[in-house]
Amino acid sequence: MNYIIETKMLSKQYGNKYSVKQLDLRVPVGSVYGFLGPNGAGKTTSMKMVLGLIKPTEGNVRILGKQLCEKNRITILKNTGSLIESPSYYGHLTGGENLEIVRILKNVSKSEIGNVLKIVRLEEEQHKKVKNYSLGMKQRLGLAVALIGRPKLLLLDEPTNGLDPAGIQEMRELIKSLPQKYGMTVMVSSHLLSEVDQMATNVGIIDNGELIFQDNLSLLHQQASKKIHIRTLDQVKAFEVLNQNAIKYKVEQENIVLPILAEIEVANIVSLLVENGIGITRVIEKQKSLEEIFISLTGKQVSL
Amino acid sequence: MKLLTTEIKKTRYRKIWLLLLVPLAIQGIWMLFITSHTNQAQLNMGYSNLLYFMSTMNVIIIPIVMAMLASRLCDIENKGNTLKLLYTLEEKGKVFDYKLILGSIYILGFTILQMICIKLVGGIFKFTQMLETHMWIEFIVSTFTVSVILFLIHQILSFQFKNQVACLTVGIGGTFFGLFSMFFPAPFPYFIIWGYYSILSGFRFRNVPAGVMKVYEIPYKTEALFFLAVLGIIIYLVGKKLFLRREV
Ligand SMILES: Nc1ncnc2c1ncn2[C@@H]1O[C@H](COP(=O)(O)OP(=O)(O)OP(=O)(O)O)[C@@H](O)[C@H]1O
Ligand SMILES: [Mg+2]
Repeated sequence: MNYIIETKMLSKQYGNKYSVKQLDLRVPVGSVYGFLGPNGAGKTTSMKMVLGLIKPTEGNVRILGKQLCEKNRITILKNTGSLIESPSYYGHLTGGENLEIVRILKNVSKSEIGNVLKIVRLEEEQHKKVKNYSLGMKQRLGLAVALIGRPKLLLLDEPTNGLDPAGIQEMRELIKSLPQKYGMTVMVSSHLLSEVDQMATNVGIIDNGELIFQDNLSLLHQQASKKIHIRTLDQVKAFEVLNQNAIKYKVEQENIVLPILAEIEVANIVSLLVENGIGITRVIEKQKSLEEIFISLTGKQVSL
Repeated sequence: MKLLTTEIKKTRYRKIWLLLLVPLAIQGIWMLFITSHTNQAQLNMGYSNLLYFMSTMNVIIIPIVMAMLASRLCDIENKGNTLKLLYTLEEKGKVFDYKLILGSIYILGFTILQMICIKLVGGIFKFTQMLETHMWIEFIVSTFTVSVILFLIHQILSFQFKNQVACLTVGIGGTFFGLFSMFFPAPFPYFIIWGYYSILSGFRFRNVPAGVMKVYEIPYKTEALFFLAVLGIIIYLVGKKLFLRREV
């Protein structure tokens, strides 16, 4: 089993619109898989299908090495923990009592409650009723619920929702540490590229229900390769000269963009332009940020 | 068993027993009041009177109690969006079934307490009539069955409509429906579950000159109980289907 989650052609149709379309997710064992996409991309819908909470219109899910079906669903899911969209809780019970209910259903030892409370740092609040919790505390409780019994696989849907900056940072560090500490695999969704960049080893980008990129995060970084940007006083003439000399280039924001070349080649191109009477104003080495790559992949501006 | 354990744990701080004990106290006081106003001649029909009286009172009081009970047990799942968590921990259908089981346990306790109240009132006023075994068994079986089906209806409503007004409105409406159903021509009353407390009562009331016994016993309507059970099973199957169809 290389992949702890593997979906084939997973699709969900609402009305005549596909919310998720032919998704082939592959989440490697031991990874932190960042599931990235703008609002409404289909992240929650996909994760719900992986857990069998909603029925796919098409396609299937392999999870923890087994084909998911209604019969084996609960047995398989005993080894998973999840936090989907907003945390689930009984407001009239205390945090500790909420965890106790999940503990009984998951059939794990009582000491586990103390452990998870400690991990999410909610020990002080465990005797308080959950309806009196702040949003961030509820979110922590949701994570504690997911962590009970140290599941092999964790599905977290936008777990940093509602947390303050310190809380967000803490949550990211925590998620990042789970594979080494407890041998868990984590699938975590987010609409923030920077967040995925911080904690994930693998990334899947979903947009409009379709998976448009899926690989190691390092591969995404490689796309962020360096380029040479040249700006001149007479761009039109510069294009002509370059075309005549069969030099390949791209135009971005009126800059001439060249791939990284040997030093001498850059010098030659600059001389060529100067010899043709074109004044050079700037020669810059630029690197595309992950955001720019994300935008060029999805065509969407994302908030950061 | 762990599913029942967690259901019970969830009812903490919900004051469920208070919800049941208040109507029981009202019924108890009402019975004491009525009985203290009957003449000596009636005491030899004491239990018949009370059992008849109780079945009528149940038509008035229990529907709304069942609506509130179902709402208090089920609404916590709506409020905290817990179904999407529970569905990863237990089979979807069991969430529905165990609510019904827990409700039934409360209802059984409530019904037995009603019977105990009747017996106590009989003791206080030294009824000369014997409380025959078939009388109390019929009372408990009938009351329990009708109440469980009413609970089921409200459980379905409570899960289906997040706003609990729907559930409670049907509870109140059901009371009136049940009362008026007694005046509908046959076979209509048999389709109105709220009225079954009266239908299944082993006693009827006759208007006669004062001082003469008014309540008389009739053979138990086993076929009506059977028909009610069929209605209950249909409601269960439809309700569960609706519940399972809902996406979380
Ligand atoms: N029950 C439903 N009925 C109809 N459409 C739905 C339903 N659930 C989701 N959708 C649609 O499916 C699309 C994907 O929704 P989804 O919640 O999966 O997005 P998301 O990526 O989780 O977004 P967000 O970042 O805002 O949480 C949306 O267009 C949404 O309107
Ligand atoms: Mg979402």
